[in-house]
Amino acid sequence: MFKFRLFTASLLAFYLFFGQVNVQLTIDGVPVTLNQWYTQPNEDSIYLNEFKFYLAVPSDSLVLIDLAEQASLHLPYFSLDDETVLLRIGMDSVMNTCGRLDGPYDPLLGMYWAWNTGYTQLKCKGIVCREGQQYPFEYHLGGYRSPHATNVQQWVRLKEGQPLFIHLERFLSNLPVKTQPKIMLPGPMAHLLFMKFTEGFQ
Amino acid sequence: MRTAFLIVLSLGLCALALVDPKQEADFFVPQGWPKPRYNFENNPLSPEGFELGRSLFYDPILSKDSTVSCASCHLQYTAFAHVDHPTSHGVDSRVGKRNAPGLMNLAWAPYFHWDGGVLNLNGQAVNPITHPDEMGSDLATVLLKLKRQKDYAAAFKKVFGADDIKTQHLLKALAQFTVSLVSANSKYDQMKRKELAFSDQEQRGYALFLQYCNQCHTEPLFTNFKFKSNGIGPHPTLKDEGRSEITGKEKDALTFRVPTLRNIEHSFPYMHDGRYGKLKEVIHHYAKASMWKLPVSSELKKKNISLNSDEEKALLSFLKTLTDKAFLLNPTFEYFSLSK
Repeated sequence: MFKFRLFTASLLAFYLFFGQVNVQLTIDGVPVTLNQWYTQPNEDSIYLNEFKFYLAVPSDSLVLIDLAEQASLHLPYFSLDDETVLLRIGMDSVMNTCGRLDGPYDPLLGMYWAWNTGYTQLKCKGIVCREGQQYPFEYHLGGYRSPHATNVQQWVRLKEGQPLFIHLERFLSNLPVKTQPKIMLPGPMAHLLFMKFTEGFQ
Repeated sequence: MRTAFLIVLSLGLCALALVDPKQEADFFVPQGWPKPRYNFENNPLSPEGFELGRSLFYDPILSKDSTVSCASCHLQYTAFAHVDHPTSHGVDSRVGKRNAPGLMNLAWAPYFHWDGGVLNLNGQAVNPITHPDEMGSDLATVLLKLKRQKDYAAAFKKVFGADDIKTQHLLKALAQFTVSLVSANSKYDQMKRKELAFSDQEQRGYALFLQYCNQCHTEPLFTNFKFKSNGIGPHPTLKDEGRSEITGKEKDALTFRVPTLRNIEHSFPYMHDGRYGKLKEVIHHYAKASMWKLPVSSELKKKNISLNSDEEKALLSFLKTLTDKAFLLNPTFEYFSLSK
């Protein structure tokens, strides 16, 4: 009995100091899932087939958040004793080129750039409906070389027991679906869009 | 008493040897060569890992329709290059846009492919396996096919100790074989080791090599691993910008990795697009600076080469001293299959 109480107390203490945080992607405050239509603040409708990106939480645990994989939306445990945490959105150059092939680095996950060692940091595919016209799009945003590196470290405010909200409307309303419906290479546009995505963490 | 102790010690050492199946295979670093760049700590070589990689290298199971293996475009006797094809063909007879390079001394390479787009040997094999013009498969399918084969499942378990075959296991096994392809026993190497001497013509060719070629094809690996333009001009039909496709920089346009010259006699055709079928054509190209097409690297421009036919022959003689028959005919690199 004593052992059971000790175990329960330890578990409680663990949760007090190390909370589990879930990721919640939203469009205009509405939680997002794949294969659903959503209305953007600019009155576009948007439908996502694929949405995944890399995130590193404190203690440098890299995870691939994939809207198609519910389990990936639960972040690994990390200390929540402050109200803000430093997240890395995307991988830095070392992570891109270290040659690891296991876990989130597994090329099987579809993020590895075979032709140019490195990883896509954000994959986003879907359709925008604007003024009655549908525009399919597909963006593979990545690249680790300056000045177009697609990774940032960012302090994010988090409250105990609340999800990490990522607001997608600013990013999605800036997609150049008419002029550049596909981006598969690193460069200024991939960088610009990725930075718009990171604004959604604020 | 002393004898009894020695017997016990010997038995103990024998037992230790028996229970250590992952005993590291030796990686041979030739005398005077730089330290290899490959991270062996991340993928310790073992005889079992080498044999597994060797079997995978020769197995068409890696391609979408099980028709094309790594060895289809990398044949041992031609220094693991693809002879008689300017650019290689893969599944469904699809033809790629680059000449399959020879595979040797990869442990020293800082990057791979003609454009240097691949930075790690362990990850390199993802390219040919998934490229639609090469093996045209996908990693999930390949892993599934391997898991279904008892011999492979057992071999992966023995080498990596895991019940499940993961991507990293597949790629590391292949790398165990390819990183072991060391060529360092040509006539040139034997001359350097003072085991034999060059003929007069070979010696003249060597002097010309040192004067005109060594700056880019630097000894002992016969490459400086840089990206250069060599005056052959763009290919008339293949749209290939080379290194700039990786860096996005205009200054890198139409530059390609300087290839090694080791075993060059056997690794025809030549250049990134395989436009020259004979080595003497390559030498003739370099021999006349006045015939070069733009762009030309600054190193080559400064050389302003002009060789007569005797000098071309001497250079050819020297390049043939880079042939390493012990490598090209090494039985441990030959076809091998784990499947009984």
